[in-house]
Amino acid sequence: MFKYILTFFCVCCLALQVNAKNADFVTGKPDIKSMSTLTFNSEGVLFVGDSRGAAVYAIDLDDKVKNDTREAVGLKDVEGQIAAMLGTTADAILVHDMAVNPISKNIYLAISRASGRKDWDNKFTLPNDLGDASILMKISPTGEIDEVALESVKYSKAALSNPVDESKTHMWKKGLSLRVDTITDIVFSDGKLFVAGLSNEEFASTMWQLSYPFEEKSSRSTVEIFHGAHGKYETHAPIRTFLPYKLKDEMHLLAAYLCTPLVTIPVSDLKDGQHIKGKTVAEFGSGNYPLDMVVYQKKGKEYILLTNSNLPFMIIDPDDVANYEGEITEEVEGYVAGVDYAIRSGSDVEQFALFNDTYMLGLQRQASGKLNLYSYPIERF
Amino acid sequence: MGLAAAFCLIFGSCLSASIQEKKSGLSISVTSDWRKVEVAGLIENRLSQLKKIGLKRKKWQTFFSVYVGDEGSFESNPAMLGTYKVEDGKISFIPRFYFEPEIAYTIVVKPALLGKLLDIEFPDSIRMIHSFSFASDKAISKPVVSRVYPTGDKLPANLLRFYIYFSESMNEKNTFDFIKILDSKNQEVTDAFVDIKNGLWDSESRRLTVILHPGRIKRGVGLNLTMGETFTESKKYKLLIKKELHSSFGHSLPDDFVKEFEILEHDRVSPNYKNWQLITPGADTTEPLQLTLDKPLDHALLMRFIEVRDSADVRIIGTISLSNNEMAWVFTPEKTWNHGSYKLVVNPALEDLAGNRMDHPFDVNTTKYSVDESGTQITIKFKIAKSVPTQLN
Repeated sequence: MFKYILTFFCVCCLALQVNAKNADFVTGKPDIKSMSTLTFNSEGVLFVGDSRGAAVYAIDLDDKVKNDTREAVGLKDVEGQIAAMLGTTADAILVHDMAVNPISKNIYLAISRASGRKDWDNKFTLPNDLGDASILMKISPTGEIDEVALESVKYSKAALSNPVDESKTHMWKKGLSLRVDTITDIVFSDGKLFVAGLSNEEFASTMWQLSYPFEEKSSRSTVEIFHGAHGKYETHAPIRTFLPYKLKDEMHLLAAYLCTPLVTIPVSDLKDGQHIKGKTVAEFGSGNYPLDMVVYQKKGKEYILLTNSNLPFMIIDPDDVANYEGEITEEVEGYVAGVDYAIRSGSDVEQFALFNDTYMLGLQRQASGKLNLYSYPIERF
Repeated sequence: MGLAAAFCLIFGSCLSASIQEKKSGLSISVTSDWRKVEVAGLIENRLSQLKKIGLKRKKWQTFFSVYVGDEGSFESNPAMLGTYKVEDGKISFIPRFYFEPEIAYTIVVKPALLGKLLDIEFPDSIRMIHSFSFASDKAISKPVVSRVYPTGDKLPANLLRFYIYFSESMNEKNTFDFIKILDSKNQEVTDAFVDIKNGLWDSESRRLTVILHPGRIKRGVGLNLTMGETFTESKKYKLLIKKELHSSFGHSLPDDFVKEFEILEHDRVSPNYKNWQLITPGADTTEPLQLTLDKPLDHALLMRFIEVRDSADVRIIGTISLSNNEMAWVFTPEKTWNHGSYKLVVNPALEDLAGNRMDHPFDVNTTKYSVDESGTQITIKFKIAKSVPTQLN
C-alpha cells in the first residue's frame, strides 16, 4: 500500500512540474485547431487565439529584424494570389485575421482553404463561422507573399478555463456552434494577454486575462452591458473588437459589440470569477459588426479608428470617451447615441491594422469580388 | 524560334502524361494519382549533385515551378507552394495541397537554369511548358464514411479498435486532428487513441484502424494508473469523424460523422467456440453456412481467420459476410456443397472486440498465469446432409 501512495505522490509531482514548464517555450508544431484571431506584442511575438481548441498560443517566429519603412504596401487580389500558391481558386480562400509584426512590419494572415467565400452569402456571417483557419501566410513590407511554416517553431500554449461548449449553438445563426466565438479578439497590453469571447458561464460574454509568459492560472470575468439600440441588457453577445486604453489615467477596455454599442470597462474591475457591468458610452448603429479597432497618432494626438462590416470608418477621440459623463441606459431612437465620432469613407474593409507611422493597412473587398490590400495614409484620418 | 513548348489538357480518361524535350533530354509527367509532378531525364550523378546542394524551395522554383492557370493565364499567378524532392531517379514536386479536379495547372521547367546549377549546357531558349487538368468524375467523388466497425452500439469498456471505412482514398495527414471520442457532454476524451502519426491506414487510404490506447485498458500499467480508463461502464460516448477530414483530392466529408455507443462492462474472457452455433445448408446447393458466435468478434480478423475446408483439407472458396453486429459469420460457397464431412478451421489469434484471443484473454496477469502461445488451430467439424438442413452444435 505504501508503494502505491508513494507512486501517486510522485505522479502529482510530475504533473506540477509539467505545468510549470508550460510557461516556457517549447519547439515543435503547435496543435492549433483554428487560427481565429492574431495579434503581436511589441517584441514581435505572435499570439494566436484558437476558438476551436479554446487556447491561446504565443509563437516566437524569430521575425525580429527591424524595419523602419515609411512606405506604403499594396497588393491586388490577395485571396487570388494566396489561392494560386495553395493550388486552388480565390473563392476557396478566406482571410480570418490580419496582424502586423511591429518590428519587422511583416503582415500575417490567418487563412482557411476550404469552402471559402462560396458559402459567404450573408453579411452577418463572419469568416470564423465558415471555417477554421489553419494556414499562416506572411506578406512582406514590399509585397512578397509566403507561407509561415509552423512545423517546428518556438511556442507556448495556455488553455482557456471553462470555454463555451461545442454543443451550444448560436441563437440565430442556424446550426452554428458557439465554439467559433470562444475567442473573438485578443490584445496584448502591459504584460498581459486580454482574450474576449464566450465561456460556459450563465453570463457567457467573457474576458480572460493571462499574464505572459503564460502561467497556469488565468483570470476570467463575465461582462454584461446595456445595449441602447436594442433597449436591453446583453450578457450572451461577445465583445467583437476591443482595445485597452488609458482614460483619465485609469486603464480601461474600450469594447465594441454587434449592432455597435461602445462600452468602457475599468481593467481594475476585471477580477477573477467576478461578473461586471460595462458602461455603454456610444451606439454607432445597427446591422453592423465592428471588426477592428486601432489607435493611431496624428500630429502628436492619439485617435481610435473603428472599422465595420456594414458602416464606414469611424474616428473616435479618446478624450471624448474619457470626458463623456453620461451612460446609455435606455433604448435609443435611430440606433445612434452617445460619444461623438467622425466618419471616413471605407466600406467593405474586412481586415484592418496599423502598419507604420504613415500608413494603416486594410483588406478591402472590391466590386469585382476581389480582396485588395491597401495602405491608407494616416493623414487622411 | 527555339521555344519548345508543349500543351496538353487532359480530362479523366488519360491518367498521366509526359512530354519529352529532345534538346535537354528532360521530361515532365504528372503521376496517375495526380499527387506529384515529376521531371525525369537527369542521370544519377546529376541527381546526387542536386541532392547534395540542398536547395530551398525558392531556388527550385527558379527552374521548376507549377502554377494555377492554363498556358494562357498562369503567368499572372505566383508559383504554387510545395515540397521538392530528388527521389526514384526524378525530381518531384508535391504540392502543399493536392491538385484539385477541374482546375488547370501549368508546369514550367527551365533546363538552362537547372544546367547552370549543375554545370550542364542546355540551350538558354528552352522553356518546357506543360498544362494539365483532370475531370471531377465519379472516380474522385466526394468521400463519405461508408462503415464503422464494430457496428454495434453497445461496446465493452475495454474496446480495443475501431475500423473506419471511407468511400474514397483519404488524405492521411494529421488524421487524429479529425477523429475524436466525446463523452455524453460532448467533451473530448483526451489521449483515447494510440498516437500513431497520421494513423494506421490501409494501402488505399480507405480503411483507418483506430486503436484505443491499450495502456489505459491494461490493468496496472502506466496510463491505466495515471489517467484511468478511457471509458466508464454504462456511460454514452461518441466517435466523431470531423468533416474536415479530406479525401486525397481535397474533398471534405459532407458532414461530421458520429457513431454513438454505450459502454458495457469489461470483457476479459476469451471467445468460446463451444458456444457457437452452426446452421448447415443442404448438399447440391450454394446456400450459405451460417455461424452464430458467442459474442461480437473483430470484423477484420473474422474475414481472415476462419476457413472452410473439406475432408481432404482443401480450402473451399467462397465469400464471407458478417451481420448481427459481427456475431453472425456467413459463408457462401462458390460451388455447390457436397454431401459429406467439412470443417471450420479457426486461427486461435481471432479476437473479440476487446482483443481477447481464442486461446487467451487480452489482459492476463502473466505472473499468475502462463499463456499458451502455441497457436494450435481450432477445428470445428460439421456435415453437409443430403437433403433437409440440420442444426448442429
